[in-house]
Amino acid sequence: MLVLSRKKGEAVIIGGDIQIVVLSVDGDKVQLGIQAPAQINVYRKEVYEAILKENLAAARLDPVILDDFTKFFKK
Amino acid sequence: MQTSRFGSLTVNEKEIIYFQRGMLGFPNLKRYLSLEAPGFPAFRWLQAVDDGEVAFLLANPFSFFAGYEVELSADNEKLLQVDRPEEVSVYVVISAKGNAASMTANLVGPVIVAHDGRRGLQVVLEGSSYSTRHPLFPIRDRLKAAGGGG
Repeated sequence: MLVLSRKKGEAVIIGGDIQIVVLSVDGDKVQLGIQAPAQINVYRKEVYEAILKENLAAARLDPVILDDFTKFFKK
Repeated sequence: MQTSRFGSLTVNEKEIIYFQRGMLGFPNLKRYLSLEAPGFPAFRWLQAVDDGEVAFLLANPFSFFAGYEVELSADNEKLLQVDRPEEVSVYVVISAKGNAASMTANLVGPVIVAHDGRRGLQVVLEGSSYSTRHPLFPIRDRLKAAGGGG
């Protein structure tokens, strides 16, 4: 991992296309401004990882669950 | 192609839905078939064409969650090759930890498919208060299923 220190107002540029600037620092909260081409998605990491984790579990789902679904509704 | 859940399937190129970004966690699986779940019109299976073991159970969220809202950005509309948000269908990915009572829907990462069936995309609803594990069934039914009497 590349580790850099930036002060408020300073920025990093990634690959020539993506820019991240430190907009404000308030205690342990840092506000970042991100400029990236439209086709590049930027997400909060914990949200992205939560979806990733769900997808990985969901991709293993056994279709027998739908048989169970029928039984469940018939109760 | 051979699939682990549905046996052998004939792949018609015209039926393949192209996910330019794949699905989160599966960026290399870009081609999918949408299969009926016979007897369950509110569900569909999204079967990866390039990996017979990978399939996602999708549900129509509006049958389960009244008031579910998804905004489609202009960039995503372009990716899906649609001009207006009405030209897509929204699905949510279903997961379960055991029996049907434990089925949950990921409301934060819906799957959007263009009506012409050519392109699809899983979007991330940043900043929503939705859950990645929204239970399909009310708690009363889940307790009953778990043998809680009543």
